[in-house]
Amino acid sequence: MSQSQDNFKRGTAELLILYLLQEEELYGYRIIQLFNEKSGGRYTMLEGTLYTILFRLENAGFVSQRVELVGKKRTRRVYNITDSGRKYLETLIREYDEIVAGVDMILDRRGGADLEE
Amino acid sequence: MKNNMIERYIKETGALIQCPAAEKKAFLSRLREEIGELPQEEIGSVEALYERFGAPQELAQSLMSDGADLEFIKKRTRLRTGILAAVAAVLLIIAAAVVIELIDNHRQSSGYGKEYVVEYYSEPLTGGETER
Repeated sequence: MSQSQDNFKRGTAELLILYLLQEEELYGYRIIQLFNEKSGGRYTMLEGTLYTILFRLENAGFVSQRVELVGKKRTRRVYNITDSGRKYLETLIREYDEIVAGVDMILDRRGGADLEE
Repeated sequence: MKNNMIERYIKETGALIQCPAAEKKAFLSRLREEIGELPQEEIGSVEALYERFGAPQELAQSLMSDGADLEFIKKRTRLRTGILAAVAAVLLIIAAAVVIELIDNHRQSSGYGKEYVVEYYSEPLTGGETER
């Protein structure tokens, strides 16, 4: 992954994770899978990176977690968005829209970028 | 085998993270739990662990959102270790000198010290020499 792509992802990861969590509670690996599925493989993330972001979001009170039992013995951590997380998500989406609109205007793109398959 | 691998990974990651100690400890603890909850077959090797979670450098970089320069941190850590080692060596030498001095003083004040008595005798003058 290029450094610039990495920077773009860092800026949008919190937004996307919170967005997915507002729809349903999810465990870490499922979030990675959803990133991959919904972006058609364009937005991938390492699990370690995801946990650093979830850790920060949880420290800020935007996400909570609980441990659920899978099968007889195995456990896994499931993440939820909190009320303050929902408000934070609204702010992030608003900021994102502003930035993207501004960047599109500078790049003379009104209809968005055409992506090659 | 799995636990050793995880612990080594956690240790390597922890060595690169520069943040408040409590935060670092909490994150590493969470990371240990997340990896530990995975079935053995999913992370059977170090390569599999790196592929799924990222190299320790990537992980540390990701946690330090201010984009800290890891090379700079490594150099700073090495320098700090070097300075600490030098200070420790100096302190050790000073401590050794003080202990030796104390032992010496103790021996002397407790009668362990050797006393040398030097006596000078005036030899009688032999013939041939004239007294003035």
